[in-house]
Amino acid sequence: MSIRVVIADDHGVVRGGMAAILSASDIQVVGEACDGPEAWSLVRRLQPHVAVLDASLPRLSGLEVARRIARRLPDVKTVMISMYDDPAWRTEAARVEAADYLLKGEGPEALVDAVLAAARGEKRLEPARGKGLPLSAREREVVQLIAEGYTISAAAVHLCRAPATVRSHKASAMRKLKAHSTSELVRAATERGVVRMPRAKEVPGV
Amino acid sequence: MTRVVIVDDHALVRDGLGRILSRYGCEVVGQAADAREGLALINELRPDVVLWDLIMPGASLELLRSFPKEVRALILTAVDDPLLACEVARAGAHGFLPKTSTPEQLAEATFRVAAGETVFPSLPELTEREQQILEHLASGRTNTEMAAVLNLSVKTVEHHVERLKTKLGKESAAELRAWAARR
Repeated sequence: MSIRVVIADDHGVVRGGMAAILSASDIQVVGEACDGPEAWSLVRRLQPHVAVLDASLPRLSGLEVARRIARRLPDVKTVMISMYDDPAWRTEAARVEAADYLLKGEGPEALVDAVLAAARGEKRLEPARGKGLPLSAREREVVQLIAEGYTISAAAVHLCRAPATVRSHKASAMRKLKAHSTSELVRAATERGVVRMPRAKEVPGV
Repeated sequence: MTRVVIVDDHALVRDGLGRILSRYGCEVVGQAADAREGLALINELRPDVVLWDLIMPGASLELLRSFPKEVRALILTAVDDPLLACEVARAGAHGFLPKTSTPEQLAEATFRVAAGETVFPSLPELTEREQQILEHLASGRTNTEMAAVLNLSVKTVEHHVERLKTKLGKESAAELRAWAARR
């Protein structure tokens, strides 16, 4: 029986490319998602063998999706795909019980290999030791939404939590990152790799 | 057959793009992992279209100007920013496609660029005042603070913020602020 996979990446052309790579190796791509909430609902509905998740998905990061999967659907294995060769992210990936953390710089064979190994139940990530990211998962969820421009009340609706809870996560994130305003919070979180979003500033000459 | 060269620093992405374009009938004649190698490759192979990532080692807007004239450049980027698209157009590229596009949109854009068209999102023109306001928003100033600094009424500042929201396709002032701060 062929391996069933759900792929989540906000970049449609990257997602389509990964689907083409996996299909060519007889791995069945049963669903594709473009953000975290969609990924979580697809995985819940389709219960694939493996979920291939971009670590920095919009609205709910791949890490948070993996954490939910590990807790609620332990039979589904996760492979984290990331642009960032960052030990803190690797540690967080281990913490949410991802089977592997793969860089986009690695070749197509590495993706196929990681998915097959995950489906067999192999775990290739060292158990989490050392420092992860400076914010808790709850705080990261909130900060990511704020960085994307959600207001407290919109973030609360999105996360199904009370606005007061969201506000308190935001406040503790601000304390931890020593930020005094929302824009300082967003800047500190982006600079310290807590949330990741490509910026025009990274293009030399802009 | 449309001859394409793909330049992107991520092997997984490069390979995937190649498979997508082959499926739509393009001939992928070469791939490169950084700007220097990419430039050498398009000079040598003279493809119809080069798919070029903007954020990779050695890449810059300036470099786009040194592409051979007959090679048409479709810029593929993770930064979906209409102002960046403007700069890319000014630097002489023929298209700008966010990576969030679907495989189908990628194929369509490639064919259109190959056929001599340019493919850009609708490009907003910002006035000097709007540029100013955008910078103040990025540094976290409130409307009242901006009004004081720029010697305008709060109403006028609000008006500019509204215009910016419309031009940049942002739904709320918070979203606009967050976007400006990220730039």
